[in-house]
Amino acid sequence: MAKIKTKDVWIMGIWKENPVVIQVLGICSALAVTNRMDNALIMGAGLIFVTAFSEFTVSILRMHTPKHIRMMVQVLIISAFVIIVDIYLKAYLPNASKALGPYVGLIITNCIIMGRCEVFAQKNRPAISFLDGIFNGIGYTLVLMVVAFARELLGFGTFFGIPVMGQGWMNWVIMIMPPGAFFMLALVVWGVNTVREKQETSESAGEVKAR
Amino acid sequence: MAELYKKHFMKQKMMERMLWALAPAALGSVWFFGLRALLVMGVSVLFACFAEWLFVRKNGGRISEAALVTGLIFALSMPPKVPLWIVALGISFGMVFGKMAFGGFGTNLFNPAIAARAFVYISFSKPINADWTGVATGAFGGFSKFLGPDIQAVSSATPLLAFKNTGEVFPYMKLILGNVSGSMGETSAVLILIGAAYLIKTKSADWRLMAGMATGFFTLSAILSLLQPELVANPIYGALSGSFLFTMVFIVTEPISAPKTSKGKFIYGMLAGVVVVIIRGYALFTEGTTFAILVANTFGPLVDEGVRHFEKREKKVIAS
Amino acid sequence: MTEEKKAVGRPLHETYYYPVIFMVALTVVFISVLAYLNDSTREIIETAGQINEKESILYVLGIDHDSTVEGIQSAYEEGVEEETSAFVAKESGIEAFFFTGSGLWGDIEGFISISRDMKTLEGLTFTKQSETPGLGGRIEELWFKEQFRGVEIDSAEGGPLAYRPEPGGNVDAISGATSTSKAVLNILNPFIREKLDESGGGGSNGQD
Repeated sequence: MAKIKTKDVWIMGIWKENPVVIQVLGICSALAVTNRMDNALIMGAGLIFVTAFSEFTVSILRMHTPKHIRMMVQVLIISAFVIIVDIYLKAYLPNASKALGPYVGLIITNCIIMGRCEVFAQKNRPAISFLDGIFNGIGYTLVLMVVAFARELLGFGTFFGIPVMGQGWMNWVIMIMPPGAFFMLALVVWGVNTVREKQETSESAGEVKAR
Repeated sequence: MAELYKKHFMKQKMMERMLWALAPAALGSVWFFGLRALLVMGVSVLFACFAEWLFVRKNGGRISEAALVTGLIFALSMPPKVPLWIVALGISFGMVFGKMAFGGFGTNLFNPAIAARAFVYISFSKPINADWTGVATGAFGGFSKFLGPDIQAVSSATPLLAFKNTGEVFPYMKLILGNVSGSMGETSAVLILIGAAYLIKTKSADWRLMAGMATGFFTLSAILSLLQPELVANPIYGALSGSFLFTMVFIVTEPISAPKTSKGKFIYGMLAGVVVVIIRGYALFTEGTTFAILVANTFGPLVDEGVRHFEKREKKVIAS
Repeated sequence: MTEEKKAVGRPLHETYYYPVIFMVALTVVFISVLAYLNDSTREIIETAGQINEKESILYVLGIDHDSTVEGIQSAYEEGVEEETSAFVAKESGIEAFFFTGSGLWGDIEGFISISRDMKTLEGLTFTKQSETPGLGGRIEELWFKEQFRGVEIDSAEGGPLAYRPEPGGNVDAISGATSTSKAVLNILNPFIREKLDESGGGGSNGQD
């Protein structure tokens, strides 16, 4: 197997194979917790933690895990880390825990983690798997933050709870409500893919010229 | 001017007839609420065309005249005092997410005017639901005024609000003529019905859709208004107030988001009519036509599918 | 090949019971870790849940307290007596009741307090609501809740509570959130009337 470089890992996780925008994974929570930036940030931090440590653990155990029960093992590992996050939030950030509601527990069903464990951690060394988890988590968090930024700005007129839009601003209520998440996320996916398409066509055009 | 129009617009006979049918209600809105109505219509139509142009320009396509209709319908469903930026934002949203994102003219799942209305209805509750103006008076009606007087008592401003909040009922004659406060083009029953007659006569809109919606609405509100008269208005008052008639004539009849089979059209209309009654009577929202159309739009393709399936089976039974 | 192995005895990770052992061992490891974490944080989590409710009750009863966890605990223990259907302030005799009802998008729950002589409202707060954020959700803001303090119960015609400028109006609605504002009164008015009836039409304290 070709050796995977650290640089590739972060480009893949954040841009080229961004879990939310390109692979369309983890949509459920991306829609649910993005009406305020602080919620999105906490959710993203939780996911980075869970993905990184799950991938790390799966990678350590990969030589010893019997192939046919590896999915069970992965779910066990992931759920353990999710419960750790859940307990931590409940104990030390009760307000955030209340705002995020069931979505912390639902990190376990976030396909990003399972996907990365199966695709990456199962085949790579622990250190690079850990990094892969972090960068995929960051990729997810960045998308959440962009969506949450637009939703909070338009819906509340605030940025991290600080009013920024001035007195005359009228809140776009729909942006804070669930439908707003669909529209915003769709716009983000649309925008990113348009940019990527342009980038790729110009890249391939460049290659042709070089030949 | 004509050349320019020809270059940028697709000619659509049906949509032109739709515009003629909307003309009485549009003129009525100026008569009742002042010249500002024209401004609202202008902004709405302009942004509707602009939003569509953004999408079709790449391939040298032309704007469908349906955009004009959508813009006009949306404008007429707004209150007279609505801030213009809300009109511009709402219609742009409706065109982009309700129509162009689904592939443009002919492929939209939802009625773009209704998508726009739902967006502003939920987002900007106060200017859309609570800032009403009275009817302009004078020899030339609203043609000599910019905007009618403000209404302070919000809870009884429009026929629907009055019934919901105080149980008060407006005189029927006013509702038929339309000189009550409300959304610009939706107050006058008689002007809307003139449009309806024209549409049916020229076969530009399917009468089944209108009949379906009327049947659903009248049947359910007749039953419920007997059982719970404090919640559900009697069918006549209910039909004449709010945007029921406007929706029945101009919105539910939009051919693209409606089913294609005849039976399907009837069922689809009924569904819309029933949902209007339920939302008006039992939800905290005053008007339910917007959500009723969205619900009906959602189930439209399914209704068609069901009707076709059912008809196929019937044929088989006859054949065997 | 297999026979050869049989003779030597299979290595552990090829035996049929190896997956079972592996899974059990892994589960035990993780469960012990989680059990430890859960146990060491249980108390913090439990008090965090109760603290919110206690703080709400203290607020509607108008009892001053520190906003720290300990402050709330001690103020609650000193100042509040829990009875079957109400929380009573020991000093002032004000009673706080739990109420629930439907709002625009979901249920609204909270506490309301009434003075000992059943004549004035003493406080109002919400513990659960899912109203439109930024509009109906503003019922949680202090200015809205504070205006219910000291409202005389029989002061309004359609009342006890009514919004200005209606006749007998004694509180302000949230502008732009008509539905939620109305829902709040639709929950509170019948609730207060019921409490008055229970105490015998006002005048005397039912708990006495």
